[in-house]
Amino acid sequence: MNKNDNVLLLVGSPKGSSSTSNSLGDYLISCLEQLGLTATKEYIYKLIKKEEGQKKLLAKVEEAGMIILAFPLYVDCLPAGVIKALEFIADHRKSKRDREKQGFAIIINCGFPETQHNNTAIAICKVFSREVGFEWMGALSLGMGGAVGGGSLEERRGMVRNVIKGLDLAAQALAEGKDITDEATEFFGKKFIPISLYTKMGNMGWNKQAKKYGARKKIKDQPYL
Amino acid sequence: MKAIILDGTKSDNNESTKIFDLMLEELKKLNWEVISIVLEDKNIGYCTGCFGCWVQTPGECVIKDYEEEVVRNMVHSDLIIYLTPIMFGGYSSILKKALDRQIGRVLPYFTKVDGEVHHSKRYEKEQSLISIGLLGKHDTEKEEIFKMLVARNAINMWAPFQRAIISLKGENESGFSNNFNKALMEVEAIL
Ligand SMILES: Cc1cc2nc3c(=O)[nH]c(=O)nc-3n(C[C@H](O)[C@H](O)[C@H](O)COP(=O)(O)O)c2cc1C
Repeated sequence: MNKNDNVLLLVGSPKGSSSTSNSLGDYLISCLEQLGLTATKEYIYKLIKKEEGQKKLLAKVEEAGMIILAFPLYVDCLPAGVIKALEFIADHRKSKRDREKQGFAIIINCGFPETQHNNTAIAICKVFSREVGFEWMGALSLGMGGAVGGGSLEERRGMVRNVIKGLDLAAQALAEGKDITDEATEFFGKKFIPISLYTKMGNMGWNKQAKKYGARKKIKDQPYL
Repeated sequence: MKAIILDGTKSDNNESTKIFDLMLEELKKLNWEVISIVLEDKNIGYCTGCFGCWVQTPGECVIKDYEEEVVRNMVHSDLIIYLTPIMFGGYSSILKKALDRQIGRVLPYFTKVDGEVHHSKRYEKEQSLISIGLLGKHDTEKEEIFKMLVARNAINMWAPFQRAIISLKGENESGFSNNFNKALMEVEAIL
Protein backbone atom coordinates (compact mmCIF):
# COMPACT_ATOMS: atom_id res chain seq x y z
CA MET A 1 0.00 0.00 0.00
CA ASN A 2 1.20 3.45 -0.88
CA LYS A 3 1.55 5.52 2.26
CA ASN A 4 0.22 8.57 0.46
CA ASP A 5 -3.10 6.84 -0.01
CA ASN A 6 -3.43 6.14 3.68
CA VAL A 7 -5.77 8.60 5.40
CA LEU A 8 -6.10 8.95 9.16
CA LEU A 9 -9.24 10.55 10.57
CA LEU A 10 -8.76 11.87 14.07
CA VAL A 11 -12.04 12.63 15.81
CA GLY A 12 -11.43 15.32 18.40
CA SER A 13 -14.79 15.45 20.14
CA PRO A 14 -15.01 13.92 23.63
CA LYS A 15 -18.44 12.71 22.52
CA GLY A 16 -16.67 10.27 20.22
CA SER A 17 -18.92 8.27 17.92
CA SER A 18 -22.04 10.27 18.77
CA SER A 19 -20.49 13.61 17.83
CA THR A 20 -21.13 15.91 14.89
CA SER A 21 -17.37 15.80 14.25
CA ASN A 22 -17.62 12.05 13.80
CA SER A 23 -20.56 12.29 11.36
CA LEU A 24 -18.75 14.85 9.23
CA GLY A 25 -15.44 12.98 9.36
CA ASP A 26 -17.07 9.64 8.58
CA TYR A 27 -18.76 11.05 5.52
CA LEU A 28 -15.53 12.55 4.21
CA ILE A 29 -13.49 9.39 4.66
CA SER A 30 -16.18 7.26 3.07
CA CYS A 31 -15.94 9.53 0.00
CA LEU A 32 -12.16 9.18 0.04
CA GLU A 33 -12.49 5.41 0.24
CA GLN A 34 -14.79 5.43 -2.75
CA LEU A 35 -12.11 7.38 -4.58
CA GLY A 36 -9.61 4.60 -3.88
CA LEU A 37 -7.88 5.74 -0.70
CA THR A 38 -7.61 3.72 2.49
CA ALA A 39 -8.82 5.25 5.73
CA THR A 40 -8.62 4.53 9.42
CA LYS A 41 -10.19 6.39 12.31
CA GLU A 42 -9.16 7.09 15.89
CA TYR A 43 -10.89 8.96 18.69
CA ILE A 44 -8.44 11.39 20.26
CA TYR A 45 -10.00 11.39 23.73
CA LYS A 46 -9.67 7.61 23.89
CA LEU A 47 -5.97 7.80 23.12
CA ILE A 48 -4.53 10.73 25.03
CA LYS A 49 -5.23 9.71 28.60
CA LYS A 50 -2.88 6.74 28.81
CA GLU A 51 0.67 6.18 27.63
CA GLU A 52 -0.28 3.25 25.45
CA GLY A 53 -2.86 5.34 23.61
CA GLN A 54 -0.44 8.22 23.23
CA LYS A 55 2.06 5.89 21.57
CA LYS A 56 -0.65 4.56 19.30
CA LEU A 57 -1.62 8.11 18.31
CA LEU A 58 1.97 8.93 17.34
CA ALA A 59 2.38 5.68 15.42
CA LYS A 60 -0.89 6.22 13.54
CA VAL A 61 0.14 9.74 12.61
CA GLU A 62 3.50 8.50 11.33
CA GLU A 63 1.84 5.85 9.17
CA ALA A 64 -0.55 8.25 7.49
CA GLY A 65 -0.06 10.11 4.24
CA MET A 66 -2.88 12.48 5.08
CA ILE A 67 -4.35 13.41 8.44
CA ILE A 68 -7.84 14.79 8.84
CA LEU A 69 -8.69 16.29 12.19
CA ALA A 70 -12.41 16.73 12.92
CA PHE A 71 -13.31 18.58 16.11
CA PRO A 72 -15.80 20.92 17.79
CA LEU A 73 -15.03 24.48 18.81
CA TYR A 74 -14.63 24.73 22.58
CA VAL A 75 -14.35 28.17 24.17
CA ASP A 76 -13.24 29.82 20.93
CA CYS A 77 -10.49 27.31 20.21
CA LEU A 78 -9.61 23.62 20.21
CA PRO A 79 -10.87 21.27 22.95
CA ALA A 80 -8.23 20.59 25.62
CA GLY A 81 -7.79 16.97 24.56
CA VAL A 82 -7.11 17.99 20.98
CA ILE A 83 -4.51 20.53 22.10
CA LYS A 84 -2.94 17.76 24.17
CA ALA A 85 -2.75 15.52 21.09
CA LEU A 86 -1.20 18.31 19.03
CA GLU A 87 1.34 18.93 21.81
CA PHE A 88 2.29 15.23 21.75
CA ILE A 89 2.63 15.19 17.98
CA ALA A 90 4.69 18.39 17.92
CA ASP A 91 6.97 17.11 20.66
CA HIS A 92 7.48 13.80 18.91
CA ARG A 93 8.20 15.31 15.52
CA LYS A 94 10.68 17.81 16.92
CA SER A 95 13.09 14.97 17.48
CA LYS A 96 12.70 13.58 13.96
CA ARG A 97 15.20 14.71 11.36
CA ASP A 98 13.67 13.57 8.08
CA ARG A 99 10.10 14.59 8.23
CA GLU A 100 8.06 13.44 5.28
CA LYS A 101 5.46 15.82 3.96
CA GLN A 102 2.11 14.62 5.18
CA GLY A 103 -1.14 16.36 4.27
CA PHE A 104 -3.17 17.92 7.04
CA ALA A 105 -6.77 19.18 6.78
CA ILE A 106 -9.39 19.96 9.39
CA ILE A 107 -13.16 19.80 9.78
CA ILE A 108 -14.39 22.11 12.50
CA ASN A 109 -17.92 22.69 13.73
CA CYS A 110 -19.28 25.05 16.33
CA GLY A 111 -22.54 25.55 18.20
CA PHE A 112 -23.09 29.16 17.28
CA PRO A 113 -24.63 29.74 13.86
CA GLU A 114 -21.84 31.86 12.39
CA THR A 115 -18.79 30.09 10.97
CA GLN A 116 -16.50 33.01 11.84
CA HIS A 117 -16.33 31.80 15.46
CA ASN A 118 -14.07 29.04 14.14
CA ASN A 119 -11.45 31.35 12.62
CA THR A 120 -9.11 31.46 15.62
CA ALA A 121 -9.09 27.68 15.91
CA ILE A 122 -8.36 27.35 12.20
CA ALA A 123 -5.45 29.79 12.54
CA ILE A 124 -4.07 27.72 15.43
CA CYS A 125 -4.26 24.53 13.35
CA LYS A 126 -2.42 26.23 10.50
CA VAL A 127 0.42 27.24 12.81
CA PHE A 128 0.54 23.71 14.19
CA SER A 129 0.70 22.30 10.68
CA ARG A 130 3.59 24.58 9.77
CA GLU A 131 5.43 23.88 12.99
CA VAL A 132 5.36 20.11 12.71
CA GLY A 133 6.12 20.10 8.99
CA PHE A 134 2.72 18.97 7.72
CA GLU A 135 1.33 20.30 4.48
CA TRP A 136 -1.75 22.40 5.15
CA MET A 137 -4.58 21.32 2.83
CA GLY A 138 -7.35 23.50 4.20
CA ALA A 139 -10.25 23.73 6.61
CA LEU A 140 -13.94 22.96 6.35
CA SER A 141 -15.75 25.21 8.80
CA LEU A 142 -19.35 24.80 9.93
CA GLY A 143 -21.71 26.69 12.25
CA MET A 144 -24.98 25.35 13.74
CA GLY A 145 -23.24 22.10 14.59
CA GLY A 146 -25.97 21.37 17.11
CA ALA A 147 -28.48 20.96 14.28
CA VAL A 148 -26.35 18.38 12.47
CA GLY A 149 -25.85 16.18 15.52
CA GLY A 150 -24.39 12.68 15.50
CA GLY A 151 -25.57 9.92 13.19
CA SER A 152 -25.31 9.54 9.47
CA LEU A 153 -25.38 12.65 7.30
CA GLU A 154 -27.13 10.87 4.46
CA GLU A 155 -30.17 10.34 6.66
CA ARG A 156 -30.56 14.10 6.91
CA ARG A 157 -29.99 14.70 3.26
CA GLY A 158 -32.36 17.63 2.70
CA MET A 159 -31.23 19.98 5.42
CA VAL A 160 -27.53 19.26 5.10
CA ARG A 161 -27.34 18.90 1.34
CA ASN A 162 -24.82 21.75 1.01
CA VAL A 163 -22.71 20.29 3.80
CA ILE A 164 -22.65 17.03 1.85
CA LYS A 165 -21.84 18.82 -1.39
CA GLY A 166 -18.96 20.59 0.34
CA LEU A 167 -17.62 17.29 1.66
CA ASP A 168 -17.96 15.65 -1.78
CA LEU A 169 -15.98 18.46 -3.39
CA ALA A 170 -13.37 18.44 -0.64
CA ALA A 171 -12.90 14.68 -1.00
CA GLN A 172 -12.37 15.03 -4.73
CA ALA A 173 -9.65 17.63 -4.24
CA LEU A 174 -7.94 15.77 -1.38
CA ALA A 175 -7.97 12.48 -3.29
CA GLU A 176 -6.08 14.20 -6.09
CA GLY A 177 -3.55 15.52 -3.60
CA LYS A 178 -4.89 19.07 -3.93
CA ASP A 179 -5.99 21.59 -1.31
CA ILE A 180 -9.65 21.87 -0.34
CA THR A 181 -11.17 24.30 -2.82
CA ASP A 182 -12.93 27.56 -1.97
CA GLU A 183 -16.03 26.14 -3.59
CA ALA A 184 -16.01 23.18 -1.19
CA THR A 185 -15.53 25.46 1.81
CA GLU A 186 -18.37 27.70 0.66
CA PHE A 187 -20.89 24.89 0.25
CA PHE A 188 -19.86 23.29 3.52
CA GLY A 189 -20.25 26.51 5.49
CA LYS A 190 -23.55 27.67 4.00
CA LYS A 191 -26.24 28.38 6.58
CA PHE A 192 -28.83 25.67 6.37
CA ILE A 193 -31.43 27.32 8.62
CA PRO A 194 -32.02 31.05 9.25
CA ILE A 195 -30.10 32.22 12.33
CA SER A 196 -33.24 33.39 14.15
CA LEU A 197 -34.83 29.98 13.71
CA TYR A 198 -31.68 28.17 14.88
CA THR A 199 -31.42 30.24 18.07
CA LYS A 200 -35.15 29.94 18.77
CA MET A 201 -35.09 26.18 18.32
CA GLY A 202 -31.85 26.00 20.28
CA ASN A 203 -33.32 27.87 23.23
CA MET A 204 -36.39 25.64 23.22
CA GLY A 205 -34.08 22.65 23.00
CA TRP A 206 -32.18 23.68 26.16
CA ASN A 207 -35.48 23.95 28.06
CA LYS A 208 -36.57 20.56 26.81
CA GLN A 209 -33.33 18.90 27.81
CA ALA A 210 -33.40 20.54 31.24
CA LYS A 211 -36.96 19.30 31.72
CA LYS A 212 -35.78 15.77 31.02
CA TYR A 213 -33.42 16.06 34.00
CA GLY A 214 -36.05 17.78 36.18
CA ALA A 215 -33.93 20.92 36.04
CA ARG A 216 -36.17 23.20 33.96
CA LYS A 217 -36.85 25.57 36.87
CA LYS A 218 -33.20 25.58 37.91
CA ILE A 219 -31.75 26.42 34.52
CA LYS A 220 -30.87 29.99 35.58
CA ASP A 221 -29.55 28.98 39.02
CA GLN A 222 -26.45 30.70 40.37
CA PRO A 223 -24.96 27.88 42.43
CA TYR A 224 -21.80 29.58 43.60
CA LEU A 225 -23.36 32.74 45.09
CA MET B 1 -10.57 43.42 44.71
CA LYS B 2 -10.15 39.74 44.04
CA ALA B 3 -8.06 38.12 41.36
CA ILE B 4 -7.63 34.48 40.43
CA ILE B 5 -4.56 33.29 38.56
CA LEU B 6 -4.98 30.14 36.51
CA ASP B 7 -1.46 28.92 35.92
CA GLY B 8 -1.44 26.66 32.88
CA THR B 9 2.34 26.31 32.61
CA LYS B 10 4.49 23.30 33.37
CA SER B 11 6.45 23.23 36.60
CA ASP B 12 9.79 22.86 34.82
CA ASN B 13 9.50 26.28 33.22
CA ASN B 14 11.79 28.89 34.83
CA GLU B 15 10.41 31.63 32.65
CA SER B 16 6.90 31.14 33.98
CA THR B 17 8.07 31.16 37.61
CA LYS B 18 9.71 34.50 37.00
CA ILE B 19 6.59 35.98 35.38
CA PHE B 20 4.40 34.52 38.08
CA ASP B 21 6.47 36.23 40.79
CA LEU B 22 6.43 39.54 38.93
CA MET B 23 2.66 39.36 38.63
CA LEU B 24 2.22 38.65 42.33
CA GLU B 25 4.43 41.60 43.17
CA GLU B 26 2.32 44.01 41.10
CA LEU B 27 -0.95 42.60 42.40
CA LYS B 28 0.23 42.98 46.00
CA LYS B 29 1.40 46.52 45.42
CA LEU B 30 -2.10 47.42 44.31
CA ASN B 31 -3.71 45.54 47.21
CA TRP B 32 -5.33 42.75 45.23
CA GLU B 33 -6.44 39.67 47.11
CA VAL B 34 -5.04 36.80 45.03
CA ILE B 35 -5.87 33.14 44.68
CA SER B 36 -3.51 31.25 42.42
CA ILE B 37 -4.09 27.79 41.12
CA VAL B 38 -1.31 25.74 39.59
CA LEU B 39 -3.46 23.65 37.29
CA GLU B 40 -0.86 21.01 36.54
CA ASP B 41 -0.96 19.87 40.18
CA LYS B 42 -4.74 19.57 40.35
CA ASN B 43 -7.06 16.73 39.62
CA ILE B 44 -9.13 18.17 36.80
CA GLY B 45 -10.74 15.88 34.23
CA TYR B 46 -11.57 16.66 30.61
CA CYS B 47 -14.94 18.14 29.66
CA THR B 48 -17.05 15.36 28.12
CA GLY B 49 -19.22 17.72 26.08
CA CYS B 50 -22.43 16.57 27.83
CA PHE B 51 -23.83 20.07 28.59
CA GLY B 52 -24.81 18.80 32.05
CA CYS B 53 -23.61 22.14 33.42
CA TRP B 54 -26.45 23.76 31.49
CA VAL B 55 -29.32 21.28 31.62
CA GLN B 56 -28.72 18.78 34.41
CA THR B 57 -27.10 20.61 37.35
CA PRO B 58 -27.27 24.16 35.95
CA GLY B 59 -24.14 26.19 36.65
CA GLU B 60 -22.20 23.18 37.98
CA CYS B 61 -20.29 20.54 36.08
CA VAL B 62 -21.52 17.02 36.70
CA ILE B 63 -17.93 15.80 37.21
CA LYS B 64 -16.90 16.39 40.79
CA ASP B 65 -13.22 17.24 41.00
CA TYR B 66 -11.00 20.26 41.64
CA GLU B 67 -12.61 22.25 38.82
CA GLU B 68 -15.46 23.08 41.17
CA GLU B 69 -13.04 25.21 43.23
CA VAL B 70 -11.77 26.84 40.06
CA VAL B 71 -15.24 27.87 38.89
CA ARG B 72 -16.38 28.97 42.36
CA ASN B 73 -13.36 31.24 42.66
CA MET B 74 -13.80 32.58 39.13
CA VAL B 75 -17.38 33.57 39.88
CA HIS B 76 -16.32 35.51 43.00
CA SER B 77 -13.41 37.31 41.35
CA ASP B 78 -13.15 40.72 39.73
CA LEU B 79 -10.28 39.62 37.55
CA ILE B 80 -9.24 36.34 35.97
CA ILE B 81 -5.62 35.95 34.91
CA TYR B 82 -4.45 33.18 32.59
CA LEU B 83 -0.79 32.23 32.47
CA THR B 84 0.16 29.93 29.62
CA PRO B 85 2.89 29.10 27.18
CA ILE B 86 1.63 30.07 23.72
CA MET B 87 0.99 26.77 21.94
CA PHE B 88 0.60 27.26 18.17
CA GLY B 89 -0.91 30.67 18.95
CA GLY B 90 -3.35 29.35 21.56
CA TYR B 91 -3.44 28.09 25.15
CA SER B 92 -1.69 25.08 26.65
CA SER B 93 -3.76 21.94 27.12
CA ILE B 94 -3.27 22.31 30.88
CA LEU B 95 -5.01 25.70 30.93
CA LYS B 96 -7.59 24.68 28.36
CA LYS B 97 -8.71 21.69 30.39
CA ALA B 98 -9.87 24.08 33.12
CA LEU B 99 -11.46 26.50 30.63
CA ASP B 100 -13.51 23.82 28.87
CA ARG B 101 -15.07 22.98 32.24
CA GLN B 102 -16.22 26.50 33.15
CA ILE B 103 -18.88 27.21 30.53
CA GLY B 104 -21.51 26.87 33.27
CA ARG B 105 -20.55 30.47 34.12
CA VAL B 106 -22.90 31.49 31.31
CA LEU B 107 -26.42 30.31 30.46
CA PRO B 108 -27.19 27.99 27.55
CA TYR B 109 -29.58 30.53 26.01
CA PHE B 110 -28.47 32.29 22.86
CA THR B 111 -28.38 36.07 22.66
CA LYS B 112 -26.80 38.56 20.28
CA VAL B 113 -23.69 40.57 21.08
CA ASP B 114 -22.79 43.13 18.41
CA GLY B 115 -24.82 41.23 15.85
CA GLU B 116 -23.19 37.89 16.60
CA VAL B 117 -24.69 34.99 18.57
CA HIS B 118 -23.29 34.26 22.06
CA HIS B 119 -24.65 32.96 25.37
CA SER B 120 -26.54 35.00 27.97
CA LYS B 121 -25.04 35.84 31.35
CA ARG B 122 -25.68 33.64 34.36
CA TYR B 123 -24.23 35.94 37.00
CA GLU B 124 -24.52 39.70 37.39
CA LYS B 125 -20.90 40.07 38.47
CA GLU B 126 -18.42 40.31 35.62
CA GLN B 127 -14.76 39.34 35.52
CA SER B 128 -12.11 41.17 33.55
CA LEU B 129 -9.56 39.01 31.77
CA ILE B 130 -5.81 39.42 31.51
CA SER B 131 -4.03 36.66 29.68
CA ILE B 132 -0.28 36.27 29.80
CA GLY B 133 1.24 34.28 26.96
CA LEU B 134 4.83 33.08 27.16
CA LEU B 135 6.70 32.82 23.90
CA GLY B 136 10.27 31.69 23.15
CA LYS B 137 10.83 34.26 20.46
CA HIS B 138 8.94 36.94 18.58
CA ASP B 139 6.38 35.48 16.13
CA THR B 140 3.84 37.94 14.76
CA GLU B 141 1.41 35.28 13.60
CA LYS B 142 1.28 33.50 16.96
CA GLU B 143 1.03 36.76 18.86
CA GLU B 144 -1.88 37.98 16.73
CA ILE B 145 -3.73 34.69 17.12
CA PHE B 146 -3.22 34.77 20.87
CA LYS B 147 -4.59 38.31 21.11
CA MET B 148 -7.56 37.40 18.95
CA LEU B 149 -8.30 34.35 21.11
CA VAL B 150 -8.25 36.36 24.34
CA ALA B 151 -10.53 38.99 22.79
CA ARG B 152 -12.96 36.29 21.61
CA ASN B 153 -12.99 34.67 25.07
CA ALA B 154 -13.76 38.03 26.62
CA ILE B 155 -16.85 38.42 24.42
CA ASN B 156 -18.07 34.89 25.13
CA MET B 157 -17.60 35.15 28.90
CA TRP B 158 -18.77 38.77 29.27
CA ALA B 159 -15.45 40.24 30.47
CA PRO B 160 -15.80 44.04 30.65
CA PHE B 161 -12.06 44.46 30.04
CA GLN B 162 -9.52 42.22 28.36
CA ARG B 163 -5.82 42.40 27.66
CA ALA B 164 -3.38 39.89 26.22
CA ILE B 165 0.22 40.41 27.28
CA ILE B 166 2.95 38.51 25.45
CA SER B 167 6.12 37.83 27.38
CA LEU B 168 9.13 36.91 25.27
CA LYS B 169 11.84 34.74 26.76
CA GLY B 170 14.65 36.78 28.26
CA GLU B 171 12.70 40.03 27.92
CA ASN B 172 13.48 42.66 30.51
CA GLU B 173 11.47 42.34 33.67
CA SER B 174 10.47 45.95 34.11
CA GLY B 175 8.83 45.95 30.67
CA PHE B 176 6.54 43.12 31.69
CA SER B 177 5.80 44.61 35.11
CA ASN B 178 4.89 47.96 33.58
CA ASN B 179 2.52 46.41 31.06
CA PHE B 180 0.91 44.26 33.70
CA ASN B 181 0.59 47.16 36.10
CA LYS B 182 -1.03 49.29 33.41
CA ALA B 183 -3.57 46.56 32.70
CA LEU B 184 -4.38 46.24 36.42
CA MET B 185 -4.97 49.97 36.66
CA GLU B 186 -7.39 49.76 33.76
CA VAL B 187 -9.25 46.92 35.45
CA GLU B 188 -9.47 48.94 38.67
CA ALA B 189 -10.76 51.97 36.81
CA ILE B 190 -13.96 50.16 35.82
CA LEU B 191 -14.63 48.43 39.15
C1 LIG C 1 -17.02 23.13 26.67
C2 LIG C 1 -17.69 23.59 25.42
C3 LIG C 1 -17.34 24.81 24.87
C4 LIG C 1 -17.93 25.27 23.71
N1 LIG C 1 -17.56 26.48 23.19
C5 LIG C 1 -18.11 26.93 22.05
C6 LIG C 1 -17.72 28.19 21.50
O1 LIG C 1 -16.87 28.90 22.04
N2 LIG C 1 -18.34 28.60 20.37
C7 LIG C 1 -19.30 27.86 19.74
O2 LIG C 1 -19.82 28.28 18.72
N3 LIG C 1 -19.66 26.63 20.24
C8 LIG C 1 -19.09 26.17 21.36
N4 LIG C 1 -19.46 24.95 21.86
C9 LIG C 1 -20.47 24.15 21.15
C10 LIG C 1 -19.90 23.03 20.31
O3 LIG C 1 -18.91 23.50 19.43
C11 LIG C 1 -21.05 22.39 19.52
O4 LIG C 1 -21.97 21.86 20.41
C12 LIG C 1 -20.58 21.35 18.53
O5 LIG C 1 -21.62 21.09 17.62
C13 LIG C 1 -20.17 20.05 19.19
O6 LIG C 1 -19.64 19.18 18.21
P1 LIG C 1 -19.32 17.64 18.47
O7 LIG C 1 -20.66 16.93 18.48
O8 LIG C 1 -18.49 17.25 17.32
O9 LIG C 1 -18.64 17.52 19.78
C14 LIG C 1 -18.91 24.47 23.05
C15 LIG C 1 -19.28 23.24 23.60
C16 LIG C 1 -18.69 22.80 24.77
C17 LIG C 1 -19.10 21.48 25.36
